[in-house]
Amino acid sequence: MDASATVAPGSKPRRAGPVGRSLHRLANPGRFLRLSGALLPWLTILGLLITAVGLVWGLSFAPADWQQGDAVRIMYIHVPAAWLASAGYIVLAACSFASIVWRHSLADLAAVELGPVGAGFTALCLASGSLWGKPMWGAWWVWDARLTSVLVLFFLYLGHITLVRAFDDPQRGYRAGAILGLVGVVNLPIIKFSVDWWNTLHQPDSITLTGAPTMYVGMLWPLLVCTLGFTLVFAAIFVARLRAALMERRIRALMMMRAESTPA
Amino acid sequence: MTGNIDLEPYIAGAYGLGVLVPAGLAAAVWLRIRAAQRRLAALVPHSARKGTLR
Repeated sequence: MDASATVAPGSKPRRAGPVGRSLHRLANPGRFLRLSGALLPWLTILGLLITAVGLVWGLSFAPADWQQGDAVRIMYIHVPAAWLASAGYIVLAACSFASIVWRHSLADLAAVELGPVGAGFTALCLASGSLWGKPMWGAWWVWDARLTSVLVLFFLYLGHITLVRAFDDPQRGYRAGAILGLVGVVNLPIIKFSVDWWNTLHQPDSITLTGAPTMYVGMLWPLLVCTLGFTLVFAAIFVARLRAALMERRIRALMMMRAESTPA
Repeated sequence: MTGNIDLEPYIAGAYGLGVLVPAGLAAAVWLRIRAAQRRLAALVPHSARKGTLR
């Protein structure tokens, strides 16, 4: 097994179209390691700096809400975590698609490594939401459509983590995980539109792609800074995990080569 | 709306988790990379010294 192999070992390579060929070039593990090695320190430093600035801004300098008081400061943790929970799953689904269509070994590893990071940020979203809900709603948890659909997302992440590790043959685990990853995409529009489709305790979105934000600008800026910072931290952790996975795959390949070359 | 509720524990809890969760994930991957680098160094001293896998 070669660490620079783009196509999953044991699987039949497919003839790639123009998109597939460019993806093959970008997803080459050797090229990925070179690029990520240069990118990772910058991602980490920028992510930590921007997150620290955003959190201090949100905690100490952003105004309190006229209705919710200082509880609104939990938003600077909760909203970035919620965004990353969904965005992480979109990337996981894209990797699953690339895995099924083009059989990229790097896409398989990326999906595997995204699972725990996405699950961590979804858990953070649920926990921070609970800490926000208790003083505002009087309950740690309600079976509201938004909360329940995010809980389902958390279980999808946990299911993916378990499924990809459940087979003796890793390729079968990757295929099963990719199918679950794609099927789970149906939950994302439910999360997004749950506050519009059903009467929920959870408030509607304050920031949308199509309309102007319904949030005071003094709160919007620290929120955007926190979101950017957490996104960079998420990306740094994900890239580092992918590098670790490639190293471990290389170690396994070297150990197998040694075992095969050792006379019985 | 918040009345006389002391909000500090909720805010501190959320910010604490906001730091702990990413820090835990980062620490886990850092330990994993270090372990992989040590094992690679034992198997292929040249590649580990250069910090590459090739």
